[in-house]
Amino acid sequence: LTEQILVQHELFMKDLPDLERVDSLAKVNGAAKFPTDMQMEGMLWGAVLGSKYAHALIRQINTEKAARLPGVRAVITHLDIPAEKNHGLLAPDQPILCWDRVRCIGDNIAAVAADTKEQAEAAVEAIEVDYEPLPVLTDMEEALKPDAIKIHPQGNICRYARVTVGDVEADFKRAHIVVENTYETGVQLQLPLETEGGLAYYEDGVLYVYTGGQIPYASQLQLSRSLNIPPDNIRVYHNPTGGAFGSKIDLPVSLILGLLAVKTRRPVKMFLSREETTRLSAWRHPMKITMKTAADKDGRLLAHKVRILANTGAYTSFGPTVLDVCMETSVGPYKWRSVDVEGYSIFTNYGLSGAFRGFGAPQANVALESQINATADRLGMDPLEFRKQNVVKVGETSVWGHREGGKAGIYDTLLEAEKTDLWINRSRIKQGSTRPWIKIGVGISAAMKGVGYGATPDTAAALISMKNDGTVEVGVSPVEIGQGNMTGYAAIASEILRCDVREIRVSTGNTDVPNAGGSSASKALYVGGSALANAAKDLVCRILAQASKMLSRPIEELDYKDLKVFVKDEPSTSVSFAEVVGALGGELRVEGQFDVPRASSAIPGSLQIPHIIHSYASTIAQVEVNTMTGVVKVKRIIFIPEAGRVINRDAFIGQCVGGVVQGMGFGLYEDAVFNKGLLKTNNFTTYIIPAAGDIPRIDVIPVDGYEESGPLGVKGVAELPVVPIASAILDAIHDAVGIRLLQVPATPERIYAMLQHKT
Amino acid sequence: MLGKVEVYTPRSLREALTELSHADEDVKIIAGGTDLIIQLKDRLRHASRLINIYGLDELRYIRMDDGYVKIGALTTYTDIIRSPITTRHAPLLVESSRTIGGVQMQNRGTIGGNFGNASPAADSLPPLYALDAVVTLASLSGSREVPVEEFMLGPRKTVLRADEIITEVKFRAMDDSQKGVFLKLGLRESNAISVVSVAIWGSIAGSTFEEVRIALGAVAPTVVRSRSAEHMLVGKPWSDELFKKAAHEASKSAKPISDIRGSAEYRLEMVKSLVYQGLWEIREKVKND
Repeated sequence: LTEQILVQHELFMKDLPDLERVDSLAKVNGAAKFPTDMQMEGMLWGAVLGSKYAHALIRQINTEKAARLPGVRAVITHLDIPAEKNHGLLAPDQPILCWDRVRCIGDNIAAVAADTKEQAEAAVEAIEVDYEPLPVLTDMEEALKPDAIKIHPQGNICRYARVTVGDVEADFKRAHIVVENTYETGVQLQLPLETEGGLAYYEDGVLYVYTGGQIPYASQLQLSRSLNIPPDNIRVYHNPTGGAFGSKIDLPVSLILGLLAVKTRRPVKMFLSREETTRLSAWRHPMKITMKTAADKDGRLLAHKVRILANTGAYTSFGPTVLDVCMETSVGPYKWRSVDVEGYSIFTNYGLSGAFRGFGAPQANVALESQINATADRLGMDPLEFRKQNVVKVGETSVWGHREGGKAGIYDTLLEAEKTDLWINRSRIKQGSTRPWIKIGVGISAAMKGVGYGATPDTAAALISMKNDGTVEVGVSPVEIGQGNMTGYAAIASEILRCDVREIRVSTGNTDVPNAGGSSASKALYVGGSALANAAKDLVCRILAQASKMLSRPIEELDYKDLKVFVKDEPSTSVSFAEVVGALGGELRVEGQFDVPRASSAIPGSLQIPHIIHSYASTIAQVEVNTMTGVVKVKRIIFIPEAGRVINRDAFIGQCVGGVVQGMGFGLYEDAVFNKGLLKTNNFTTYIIPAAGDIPRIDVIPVDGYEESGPLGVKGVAELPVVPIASAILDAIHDAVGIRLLQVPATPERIYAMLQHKT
Repeated sequence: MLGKVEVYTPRSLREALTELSHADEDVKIIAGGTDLIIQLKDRLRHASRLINIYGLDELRYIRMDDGYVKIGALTTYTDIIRSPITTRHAPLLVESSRTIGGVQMQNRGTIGGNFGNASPAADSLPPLYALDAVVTLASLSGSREVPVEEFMLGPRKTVLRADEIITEVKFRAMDDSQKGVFLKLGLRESNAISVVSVAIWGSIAGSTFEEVRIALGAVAPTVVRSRSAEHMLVGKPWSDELFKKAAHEASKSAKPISDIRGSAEYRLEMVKSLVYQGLWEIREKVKND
């Protein structure tokens, strides 16, 4: 019956009008309460003591003095953790509060709850820790040596993996050219606008946690493991989080808040400074990637050998899966006869690397796309033509054995790139400099990014409910972290219900709604939205079935709009959804499911690749290089994504622009400076991210796609735009001044040094 | 954490000076606060009491007086950017003001504060060195004038006495035969602290400098003039060769350090690049006249 109704009524087949965000007004006028805005009667303030060293043994922790200070209500250490003392979603190996050893500056040792923030901070300073400093291991090659100091008992290799297809060595022998280079990418900090913090309280055996986060049920699970409270008695509220790019999946602060709240039986608030947030948040893995790439004389790519060293810092976090995505992305959207990809995820005392928008893909892209451009150079081929000749088109099969489905893909973005004025006129644009020391260049790159968790099983549930007063509520767990998924969910429900989007109340980012996962892996819309679409369709079917009884007409004769069912030929004969719901008992709650389609098994040697759904993009960058200073100004970026159907164009473009700027930061500006494992650039003054004056004209030209594996036609675009920007800029720098940097960020000093070296 | 600080807000300069005359080391003057508040929070400076002079409009002015441009200490960068007087008679100071922080800091920060903070990377100082400016310092017992070059002794060290307030900076107004330029190398377009900055003022006859002053920022404990490079330029016909030689000479006046923004070696190179580009830009301005 459901299928029949769906076909008859062409549910969800139209495009949506431009939408105002459902959460915009509250965020503009200040009514929205972010986790760090929370306050409660009788609230205490929390503070945390971080490690002073990147690597040291802890001989003793003395909290007596701190505990006696005025206003102090609790001082906690590892002894106060009732159950699992480590956290980490993949492998719990990161101490919530350290006891015998610190392994990076992100480590925490103790925490305090006091009447005021000042008292809490004074108490933290009064905690005495007796350290015995150990050698600080930051270099990956050093960490791999057999005699290196072991950061964990099992050694310094978090994970080693290798996947091969075909015989690269044989293909290298028959190759016309072989290009080999080693690339290095730096630490990139995440810097969401809202720093870490929030509020927790414990009441009648139930723990309530309001913090910034991304995956509510994963937070609940980790809190439950460590606090020894059943998951059902932990309510997590992450919505709305003031920005998140991956590091808020880890949750050191939520765990500490929970511990303090249980210990004091009072609400406890924490609101960390930018410097503290930076210290304990995961950043982008610095990597060293060697690639050997071969092509034949006709410009066909043959073989690709890749060796990845990923610096995962002191703990596992998402190191193993970041390595997987990096390996998958290191071969890109290209057709190869053979590939041989190996990777190491390596423990060091270099802070904590983890999930960060792009998840290993931006690093792989810098290396791969530089290789592709260098190979085209060597062949004397146009880099865009070269790509067109070598990418996997719709209907073709990738090197991982996955057949490209959908309506459009990487090839279509290249066709669009070819038509842009910047690409067509690039020779003329290069002549436009008015100063002898300014050189102009135009560069290109391509990108792919898997959507979702690849071959890992992933099932989502979403709720739609309707009351007999006509109110519609949807519940989908991925957190609104600024990307606009609340609006996406409202749009999906309103389109299927054929009502005004303002009729839909949206609840996201908490454990009161069913589990549709989180805002991660570019999947909040695809996965959560698909479960919701299934729920909404089911709701409509049930309402039509009941209305058919109430109006004594067969379903075929009925239609519906604006929350009313009516007879097609006689619209005045109708019944409202509210009346139907009344007849069904006063409330209709429908859960929808979505099983994320995936490859039947992971590639031997990998954890979760391949993804079978990828978003793609081509990027063109125009830069000016000051040859006397090494300063690069990005003058223009054209970003051409194919991410399936676009259901909210403004939000889609907004995501892309933000990602492009973050990609510029990764490629040019964001240089984390360390001394003995201590981060020296830990705030907005010292760590340079692009600001308004640096942001060029950015054109986003979405290519119309349609992903057939879900009910919405969407894929995901969240991470994609951060992936290809650095490589396009590096290519533009090469076009301007003839040097290919093998390192990002391409800071002025690095470019200057290379220019000096060249002359 | 800022902690508890007592703030006294005088209604006149005289009240401020009176208060200051019996103040101890723990008392600090606050104007726009764009540096001081951060330093107090980060415990780089300490104060138990602040004298908030930001409301003293008598110290907020830009005026011409007998061939001199006089700027009150509480004049903001935005005031300088918008003033027809500075636009015409001190364009290099306007250029530098535009590069200071972002718009919010330009609205809030004051030129007197930039002096008082005494950072070698302060962007308003190289133009004022190049303009050969004079600073007025007032106390209850009277006021004195100090050449800008003698005011700052090192990072956060000045000749300012504990009972004194910076009240004014003045310099000879530029006329049409004089050109100025300010170039800043920062790590982004706005809200960037200078890695190197260069200000050049020149009095021009035909295609030579009759007189020229070159000031370098962020490459020594104070802003510095490069007199040997200036000397090399005076009276010589302009050429790329000459500009390159002078730029090289100027780098000898720099004694940079390495920090998170750049290495000493890079800074030395950048002095050469920026001085060369600055001289080139002045020649360009003359050509376009």
